[in-house]
Amino acid sequence: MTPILHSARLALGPATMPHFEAFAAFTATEGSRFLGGPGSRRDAWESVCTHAGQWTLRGYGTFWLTDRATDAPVGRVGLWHPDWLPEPELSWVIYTAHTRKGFATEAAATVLDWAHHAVGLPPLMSLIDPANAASIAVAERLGASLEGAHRYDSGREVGLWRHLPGGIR
Amino acid sequence: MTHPTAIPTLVTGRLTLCPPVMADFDAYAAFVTGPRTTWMGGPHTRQTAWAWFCNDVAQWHLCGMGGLIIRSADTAIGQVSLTHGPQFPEPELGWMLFDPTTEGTGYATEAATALRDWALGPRGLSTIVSYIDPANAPSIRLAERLGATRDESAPTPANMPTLVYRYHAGARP
Repeated sequence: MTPILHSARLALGPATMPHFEAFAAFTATEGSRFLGGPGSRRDAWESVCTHAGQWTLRGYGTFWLTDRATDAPVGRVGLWHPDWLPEPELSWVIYTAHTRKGFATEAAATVLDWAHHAVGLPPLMSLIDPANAASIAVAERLGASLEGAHRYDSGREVGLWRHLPGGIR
Repeated sequence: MTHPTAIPTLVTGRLTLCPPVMADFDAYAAFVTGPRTTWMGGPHTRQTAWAWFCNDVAQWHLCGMGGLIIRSADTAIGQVSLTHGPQFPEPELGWMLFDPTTEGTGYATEAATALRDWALGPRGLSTIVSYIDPANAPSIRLAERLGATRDESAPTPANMPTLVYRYHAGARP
């Protein structure tokens, strides 16, 4: 099951219904375009459950982020590892109202540290659309470097960013 | 809130209904991407299969119910599920057999009976339903064998042309 981690400003934990509601509100908007959105409420439910189920199947997965000061759900960060990816992907999503505060970098650094020290995973990768400047900036702040490209079955090509061994510390 | 319910393992005369594991995914995906999912809007992509597979695991934690893999000896032959969540108005009992050669063996009935008994027994639900495509005669017969009756006034999932078959606690054959 999903452990609960803490960073300076965030709690990282399992999916709850308030997190689902916040995620569904986000995926209904254009802000979710790099996540394949906008999508329906049903799509959002399926996504939340897919990530939750992966914890049981893989032993690692996605954390849902809560702002410790306000209790507001602000996004999700974690390890996405569906059947069709050869290794787990460190991914991050911050809802539009909570961007530009450094939450993605803060949470991703916490997850990198956990993945290396608690799970024992090798250096992680992130798949980022070349047009997603905000996410590329997060990857660079985390110390990741562009290693190559990844092509999805759909033909869509994204950048494959490799994170530092041992997280960023 | 999350549900602390441990995922149960149910044992029937010939079958074991087990928590899904990664090794079950290939058999599950072969079914979902194959021609036998007509009643479920299929065939679907492997991505959809992954989403469903994970969803039915996750529902155990989010809703205290979910999917179980049907095993005969050590082989995964199908899935039974009790699922809820925002897209279904009520907890729904469903079943699938991966391989057409296992049809007519009574395996689906045996597995669905066990999960129905768990739902209306230990799980403490007073009623559950099955959503069945009106043209899916084998599943309608199976639901009726399990004691379900048509409920024409029950709410149906959005965008899903379906009949609702209802099971009640204490009214089991």
